[in-house]
Amino acid sequence: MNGKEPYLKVDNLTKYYPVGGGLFTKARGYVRAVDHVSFNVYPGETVSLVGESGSGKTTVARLILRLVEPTEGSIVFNGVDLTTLKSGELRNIRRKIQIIFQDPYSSLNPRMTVYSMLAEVLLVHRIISREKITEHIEYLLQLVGLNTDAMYRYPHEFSGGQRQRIGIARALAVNPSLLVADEPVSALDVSVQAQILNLLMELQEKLHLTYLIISHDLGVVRHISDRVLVMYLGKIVEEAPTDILFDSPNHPYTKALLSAIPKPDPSATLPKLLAQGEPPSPVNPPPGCSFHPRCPYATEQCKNETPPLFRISETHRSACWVFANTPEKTTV
Amino acid sequence: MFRKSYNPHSYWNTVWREFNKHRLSLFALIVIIVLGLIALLAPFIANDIPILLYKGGQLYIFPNVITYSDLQAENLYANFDRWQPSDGDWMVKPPIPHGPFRQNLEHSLQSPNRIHWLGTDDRGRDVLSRMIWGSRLSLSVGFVAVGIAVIIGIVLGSLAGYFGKWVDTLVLRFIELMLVIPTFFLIITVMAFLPPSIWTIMIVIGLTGWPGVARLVRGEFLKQRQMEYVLASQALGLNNTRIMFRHILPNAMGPVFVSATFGLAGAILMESGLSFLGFGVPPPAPSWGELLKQSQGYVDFAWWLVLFPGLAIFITVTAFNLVGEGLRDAMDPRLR
Repeated sequence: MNGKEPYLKVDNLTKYYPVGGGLFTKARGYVRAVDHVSFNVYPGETVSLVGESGSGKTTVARLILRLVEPTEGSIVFNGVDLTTLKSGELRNIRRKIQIIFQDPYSSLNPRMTVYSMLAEVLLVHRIISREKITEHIEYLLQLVGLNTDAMYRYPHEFSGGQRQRIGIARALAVNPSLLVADEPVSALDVSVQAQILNLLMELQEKLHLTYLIISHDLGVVRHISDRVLVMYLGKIVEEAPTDILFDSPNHPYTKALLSAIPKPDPSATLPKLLAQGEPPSPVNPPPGCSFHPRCPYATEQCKNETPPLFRISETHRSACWVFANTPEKTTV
Repeated sequence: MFRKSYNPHSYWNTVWREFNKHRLSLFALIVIIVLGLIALLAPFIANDIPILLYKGGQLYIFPNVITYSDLQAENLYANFDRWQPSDGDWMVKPPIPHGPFRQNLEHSLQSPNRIHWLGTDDRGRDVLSRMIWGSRLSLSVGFVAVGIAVIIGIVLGSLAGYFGKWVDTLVLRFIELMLVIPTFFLIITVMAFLPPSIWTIMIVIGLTGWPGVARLVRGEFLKQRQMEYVLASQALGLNNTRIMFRHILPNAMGPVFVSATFGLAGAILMESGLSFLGFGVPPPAPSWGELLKQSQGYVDFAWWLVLFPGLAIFITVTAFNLVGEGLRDAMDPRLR
């Protein structure tokens, strides 16, 4: 990856949601949904963002799409800082970044046919002339593996997998180059999951797309991604190429996640390392490393000082005082 | 702009199927449709001006709705009740051959009989004819007032629900402000200062009727705004107006229709109440409330002056409420 310009450069991205407080009263605290997150995505690669519920993955996705305003930080896409753009300029850039949602039942407007849904987008962005619109919609539907007669139907006439394909077609209608997929398959049956993942990979090759996949399913992540970012309580705790992350994870949280993958073997013993307890509240995160209350290796230092992302190798970073902070490694 | 296909499972088809199961609501809907037809066709049902007139070798078609200048010149329009066809002339009169304004003091305060089916009032006007023409006033006040209320409610409610934050706070406070004021007395006060006309009533009832609709629409928008299809539309760069009114609003209209139906009943009742108190449609216009008001002095013996307009109000309001109830149940998926 080195030497290439990052396609998407997220720097210190932060989103705090105020808790309580109204028009005239001050907020009682903040939910630190995303807390100073930085990462790069390079052209053509698939980066996955994993973490348990509430770790801020979805908020990162929505921040990148500018569906949510960041509290702090910058998102540089193709050399342009999205956080400083006005809504008019944003619209053109927005076309280049699109999103696929988790729930195929709420992500399509129930009152619009597939045709009107796609035609609206194509016409608003002047992607195709009015005369060629039906032809282009047929092309989009074929691209995502649907019959062209799906065009005149309403969303409720389709299965979950078909709806997800329609969602993908809608995202692709504006010719994006970066596709953010927020849990794209977690609401689908396992057999359908594979189909959608394969479709995403085919499309990546065909259309030269760059992917940012948000997922909690490590099996899915291993299957499709080049690089993985692990998030915990709004922070990135480990970043590594997929093989390295799955074979030699560094951060205890990553290890706990990996050991929690169920194995298809009834005689397998219980996982060796499991995080203890529940994730703490993001309103009031523990001091120091936010994972320390659940970590079997926690030291005094972990309880007091927040670990930076240490560099373990060229491509591998981890935020752990115990495992990453060996003397020969330098911090980023 | 977009083609549509016939779709047997569409939302409104489902609602209609469910609505059909409520026999009473269906019956009420038929009553409303009949009332609407009566109101629309009033000049053909109750009038002393004929539907067809053959006079002096010339055929006049629908003189009851078309003003012919030569008939006007003879001052015939004001005197059709007394006009007798001479040789060769003939006319076809509506089934109830009495005009709503035609006074005939010789026939005043007749109880229901063969000529005046529901009796006459103190000036000898036919009660049935006045009630039929009154349905025009009452229904149109209802529809226009509710139309105004729904439009204001939709605009304010969707702004509040979609943009949230201070817009929402502002609109909510405005709604609460409107809700704490007793509408009926506000309208009476306002009507006391405004020139009495049917339009003033429609507008004033409409302007006070929107808070309920606004609250409903706001709630629906709050719910829909979180749906991923709205986020997808935002990510696709569609502008807010389009998202609000093309994407969210159609999904939020269900409860609005229900509330509009109840609102119609309320507006009709409101207009009757106002007219009864003398703040409504100025006489001699025959609104149902106005008919009740005129009967005040004769209540002790002329029961037909009270009973029939009262029944008309009662039936109409009940019918709208029943339809609203049926619609609410048909749209509520929990009751299926």
